[in-house]
Amino acid sequence: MNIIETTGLAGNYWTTEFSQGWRTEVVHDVTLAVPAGSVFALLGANGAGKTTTIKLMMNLLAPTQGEARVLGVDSRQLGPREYSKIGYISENQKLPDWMSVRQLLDYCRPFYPTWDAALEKKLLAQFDLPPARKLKQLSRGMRMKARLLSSLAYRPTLLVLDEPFSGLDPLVRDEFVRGVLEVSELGDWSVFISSHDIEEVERLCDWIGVLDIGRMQFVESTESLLGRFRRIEISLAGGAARLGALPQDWLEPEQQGERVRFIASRYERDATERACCEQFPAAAVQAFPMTLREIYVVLARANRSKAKGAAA
Amino acid sequence: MNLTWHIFKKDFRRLRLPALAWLLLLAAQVIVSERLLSVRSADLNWFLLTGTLFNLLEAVGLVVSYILVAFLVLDDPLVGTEMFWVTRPISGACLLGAKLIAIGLMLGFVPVLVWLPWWLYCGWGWGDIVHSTLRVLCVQTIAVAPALVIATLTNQIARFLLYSLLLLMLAWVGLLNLLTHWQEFPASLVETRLWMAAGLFLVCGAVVIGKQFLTRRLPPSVAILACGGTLAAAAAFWWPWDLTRIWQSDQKPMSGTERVSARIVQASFEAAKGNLVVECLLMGLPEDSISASGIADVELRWPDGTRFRQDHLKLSVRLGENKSLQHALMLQPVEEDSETNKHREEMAREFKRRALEIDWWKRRTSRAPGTGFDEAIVSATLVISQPIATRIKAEPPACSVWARITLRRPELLLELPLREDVQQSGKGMRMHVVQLKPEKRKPTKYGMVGKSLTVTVVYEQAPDVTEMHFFQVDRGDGNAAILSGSSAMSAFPISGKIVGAWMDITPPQLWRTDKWVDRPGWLESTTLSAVAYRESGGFNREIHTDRLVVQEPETGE
Repeated sequence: MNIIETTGLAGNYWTTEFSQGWRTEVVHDVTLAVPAGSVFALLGANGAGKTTTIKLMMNLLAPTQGEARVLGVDSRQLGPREYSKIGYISENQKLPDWMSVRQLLDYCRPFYPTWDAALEKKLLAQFDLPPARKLKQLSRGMRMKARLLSSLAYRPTLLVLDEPFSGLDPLVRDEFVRGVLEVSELGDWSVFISSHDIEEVERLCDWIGVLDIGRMQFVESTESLLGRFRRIEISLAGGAARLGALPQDWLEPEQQGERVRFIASRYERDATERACCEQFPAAAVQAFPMTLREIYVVLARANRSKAKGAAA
Repeated sequence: MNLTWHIFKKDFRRLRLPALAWLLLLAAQVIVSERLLSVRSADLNWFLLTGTLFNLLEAVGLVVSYILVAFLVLDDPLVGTEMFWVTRPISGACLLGAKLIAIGLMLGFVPVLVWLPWWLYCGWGWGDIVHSTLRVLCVQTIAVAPALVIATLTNQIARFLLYSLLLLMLAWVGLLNLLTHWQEFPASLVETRLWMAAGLFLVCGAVVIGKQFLTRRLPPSVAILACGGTLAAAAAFWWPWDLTRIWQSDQKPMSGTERVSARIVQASFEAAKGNLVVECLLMGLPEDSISASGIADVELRWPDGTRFRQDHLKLSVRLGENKSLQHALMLQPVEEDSETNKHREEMAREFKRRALEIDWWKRRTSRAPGTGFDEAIVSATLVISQPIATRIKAEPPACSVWARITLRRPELLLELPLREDVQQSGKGMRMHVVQLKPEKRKPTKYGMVGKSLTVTVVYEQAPDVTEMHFFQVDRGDGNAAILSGSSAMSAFPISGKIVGAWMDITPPQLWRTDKWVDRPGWLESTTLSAVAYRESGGFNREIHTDRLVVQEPETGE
């Protein structure tokens, strides 16, 4: 069962620019699915449309095309019943700054029948939040933790995090991620996280979707993605050879003397080695695993050059 | 409901300081009211300053109400995508309920609660209190409704203030335009148009508020408001049908009015505007009432079938001398002093010889010349065009008037002795005689010239006392004279009004051994009486004439 499903989702913003027809479309034809119990990371550069996609899913914006279903309900119909099972955390969300941390928790508690006072107490201590201090007096990281606390204490079925790490120092990031990880281990929670902070996301996610200029490039499980990307280094035994036409799934090929490097985007040990041997006979082939960040950068470059080519 | 109450408590905690300031402002108004009714008001400058301060406090109170509503709504804004509440399990209906409870309690209930002890102190009955409560709620609604509409369409206080300013300017320009063309239409049609415009704005505002709280889709809400505003403006300027007859139904005949007869006595053109004034004489009015106002439909007909008709014209009334006041004050006429009467008759003969005319009774209620004690003249003014006026002059038409007359009965509210620093409450009024100031007088052959006393009175008056006069009542000789205030300044509490009045008291005089003297003991037997003229009923009459001859306007030559 999918906890979130979008089909051909598109959304736009109203602008003051008549030349843009008063509206500018920032998300086009986004289709994705988040399986229940998984941690889904939506990756993309700044302005890729991650926040807009989340706003469309959370009924903060109305889709212009397509639909999003969250917890099995059309996003446009999301109401208190569904929100009582969703924890939404965004750096843009305005907190009632005049409240203290304690007042915020006291205010939120009655809205959630599943509010867990013991968990609240535990997280409050873990996050080291001063209960009596007003939210406006807290640092950015502390405020983020207060948001997280007020969204975790009722054990939501779905936790939606929009750019949760931006502007946080490494220590707070670590506490934040640890909080999410620990709590998600307590139950069968699903997490949807949007970020351009790939290292942090890598520790959390099972599924990855990459969004670029409002379009979904792919959605894939982390395991599969990390498995199919390898940095290949080939040592040419018989001296330098001229690179000929290479397969399309070999990205960023480069040659330095007797060494050829490229990224295999559909790596399968036997098939890739066989293909290498066909291209470079008698060469030694070495395959190195890649981090999610490296894969993301390669894909982003490839998309950009593809887009440039299409424009030309 | 629990969650609604929970949100309300959050809002109250959030706005507790502004709410406290609002409460203090209300308390300050009550304290200033109390000071206005004190003996310090004998000082005209002090009363003026304090009255101005009171009006200022009230105006500030309305502005504070307006801003408080904005703060209340904008604490959980309905526009944007970054609000805290919107991804929490809070329904729009629940939020709307909480906001309405907060507005109702803070801006409706609290003012009534603060004013209630004052109203009781002023001697208001439950009817007055209910009336005042409704008035307070109505004024607060007028202040709050636009704020609520605008606040639901914004997410920042700065934008709220900007849009409020724009709305104020639009309303101002619209009203100025309306007032410019006011005279071109019958008052009842203008009244209908204003009601229609206000009604449309309120309905459309309510729809926008509901829609914003329930769906938070800004473009449709703005479109609805724009349509509503356009419709309201169109109704204010071009609504064609007069609907006032729906709520101004025919009077149910009051007993005792069956014998009232009516006839058209005169018609004339107003010198300045050329409007046609039709005057009717009412005869046989009940003794205990006066006809104070009325509405009429007037139709002119020519033999060729042409008709000219105007409906719901306000009637102006001139009264004949009338005995209702004697009934209300239970005055028993006492036989007048023979020596004085004899002297007055001599004086009258002398004046007649000198072709002078002096009305000895001008202290009494003014009356229309030539009308008896049970008579009144009512006049309707028709707005007519030049061609119609020319035709009326050339060819006098038949005229029919369907008049709905309202009667009022005088009622004694309070009667205080003429002494300094006496005060009394009751029947919707609190009155305080704060000063009696003797004035210089000069004896002449014809009487004492100049006033004897200036009495300074401050009073608080309930809103349903729409017409009230002071009388100098002499229980010794059974006379009552209406008093005119030489100056009267008002402070306007929303629920009533506080007035300071400075009135001249003239003692009754007797002719004794070749000179005029004040009647001995007059001050002890004279009281200051506040008399309200309350609506007591009415009647309808159809009045016809076959030939309406119009007098030419006086040119003043």
